[in-house]
Amino acid sequence: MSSDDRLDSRVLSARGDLDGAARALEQIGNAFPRRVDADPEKVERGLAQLVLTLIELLRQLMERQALRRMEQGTLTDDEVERLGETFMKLAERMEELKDEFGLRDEDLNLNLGPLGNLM
Amino acid sequence: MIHLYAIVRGLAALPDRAGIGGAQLDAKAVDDVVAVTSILSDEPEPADGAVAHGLVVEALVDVADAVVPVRYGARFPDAAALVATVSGQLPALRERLASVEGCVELSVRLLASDDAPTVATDGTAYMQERLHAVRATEQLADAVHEPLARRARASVRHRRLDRAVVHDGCYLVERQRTDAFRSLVEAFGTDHPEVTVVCTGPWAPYNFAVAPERAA
Amino acid sequence: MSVTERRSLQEEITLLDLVDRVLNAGVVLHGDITLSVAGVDLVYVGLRVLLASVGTLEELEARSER
Repeated sequence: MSSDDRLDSRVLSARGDLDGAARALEQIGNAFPRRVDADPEKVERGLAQLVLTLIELLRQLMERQALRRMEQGTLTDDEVERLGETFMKLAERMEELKDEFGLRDEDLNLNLGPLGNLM
Repeated sequence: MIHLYAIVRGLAALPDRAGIGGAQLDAKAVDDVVAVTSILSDEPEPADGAVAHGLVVEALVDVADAVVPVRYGARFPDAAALVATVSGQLPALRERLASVEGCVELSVRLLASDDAPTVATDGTAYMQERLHAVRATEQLADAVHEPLARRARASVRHRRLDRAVVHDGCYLVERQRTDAFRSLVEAFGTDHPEVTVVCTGPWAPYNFAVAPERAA
Repeated sequence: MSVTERRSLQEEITLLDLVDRVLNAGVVLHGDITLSVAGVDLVYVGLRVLLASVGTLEELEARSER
């Protein structure tokens, strides 16, 4: 692409970890699953990414719901404890699975679109 | 194949740039609106087609009174098909053109490093820790969003799965108010060094190309 | 961070933001079939367009790995 095809910077204001911002932006825009390679290891990783992203979505949705009910006071102490234990274990397991497949937090992302209203 | 970039009104002249694959831009009147298009060659889609599309739409903002960007991928076998599709959406398009006239879109994002590991040893402590974190995040997001939303004609808040994204908002701002808007964001950034603040724009009103859904 | 590095990071953010808008926002006006479920448009995007979009994203990934 020739240089006059470039947009000048449209960054009006930026403060902080811009590199991190660029990484997060990269994932925000990634509505399409990564192109799956023929390499079986990459295929497995691509599928793991998809599956783990969905699991992470469900985990966050459930945790949000539980936190809302906790705020509203409609959970017993016992329920709070049990839910907390479960979410903690799920979070640990997610970390393990991410490590196993060499995935970072930013790799698990999804353009939620209308689903975002559930968050 | 005809590729569609945007629906516009009050187009002074087509921008002095080429479309995808170097094709010439064309303006096609459909009733009282104008469809900006170009012809796609038979060659495979260039890898940077999306970027070329975006550059055309941004160029249109400077030469038209109102621009409703079309999402990448609108293709039509001929002019008749294009006219038929656009005609079918005229009421909505006219409403959107009126809504975005004289405005640009600004994006404001807040990002926080999400790497604080949990110190909780039991379920109740975990939930309390999470509740505290979620409340703090929401407060911060509301603190940046509310003053900006007041100064915008309209706003959209995106909910993101990535917990590092504390706030992701798009604001429909009148052109003459963009500087004041930017100053507000800068001030927020100064007041909150603990968070990364990124404001981009001005953009064509992509996130206001469709009427916002009425809250249930 | 040097001025050059800062500027190209800003250009990268600009490009990422532009592509995000082009692919995920804007009104959906298609010659192809649009399926709608519960008010959510599930758009059938031509395969060529999809691959092109993936291509653009890969290009961005390659640039960001520099």
